[in-house]
Amino acid sequence: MSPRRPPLFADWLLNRFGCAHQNPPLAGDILEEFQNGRSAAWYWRQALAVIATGLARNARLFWRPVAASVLIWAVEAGIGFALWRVQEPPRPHNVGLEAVLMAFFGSFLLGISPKISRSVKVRSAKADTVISACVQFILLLLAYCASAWLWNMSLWDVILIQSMWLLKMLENALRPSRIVRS
Amino acid sequence: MARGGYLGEFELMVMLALLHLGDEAYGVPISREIEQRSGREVALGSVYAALERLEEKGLVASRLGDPTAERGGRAKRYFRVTESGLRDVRQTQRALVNLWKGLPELKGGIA
Repeated sequence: MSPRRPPLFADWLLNRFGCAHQNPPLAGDILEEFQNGRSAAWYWRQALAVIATGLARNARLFWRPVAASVLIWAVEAGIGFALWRVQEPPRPHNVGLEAVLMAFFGSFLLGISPKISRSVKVRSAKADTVISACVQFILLLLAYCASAWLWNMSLWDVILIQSMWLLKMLENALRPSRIVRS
Repeated sequence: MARGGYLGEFELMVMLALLHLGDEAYGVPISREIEQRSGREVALGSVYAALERLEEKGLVASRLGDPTAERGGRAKRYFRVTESGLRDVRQTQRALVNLWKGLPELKGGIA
């Protein structure tokens, strides 16, 4: 008899956000129980619980990078909304100014956040995080400009882009593979 | 008064399940033991979170077993209670029993 397949999307979520690759025994336990006859709904509940527990744990352990991410997002969102209010669509020089400001704030905040904490250190070079943040920001700005020029961007587009930025920043900050406890 | 040595409700449940199961305690039987004895569904993620906290405190120890096909090639992680874990369980039990003694109206399960 071939083994049952767990719900694809729940399985993907578990592997992508549930730290299954870092805690294989937990992922194995969930799969074993599912193979023993648990329902797809049960699998979904377990996957969501693992994700929630993992995020809460990481947020508790690494609250400084998370707080820095939220602060960076707030500054970025503030500038983005101000630009949107002043002129629509945004002009290239304003977008460029926003990029420079955000690269500066992002580098500063991401750079100092690990130094503040004595119990947490960034395993990879801090420059890696900063470069990653800047690249993501530039990509989002390109999307911002393209949608503004092509489709006369609405408030919802701005909100969507800002939300994408926040989620990406939080994911980076919460990803345990980047950060280890000293 | 010295702090520490007392376990939270869920941590105590996990420790007692480990003591019931002995050497064969890993995530699946631990969660089943708690479900059967407490009558409530337990998320495996919560069990592992509690076990990791207990391991950080040195109250449980773990070892990896062999990977099996039905688990997608993933190994089992077996847990056992350490000496200091056993001491904390006893201390928590004493504290709870002493607290119960002062509440005669709870005798016979009447709240």
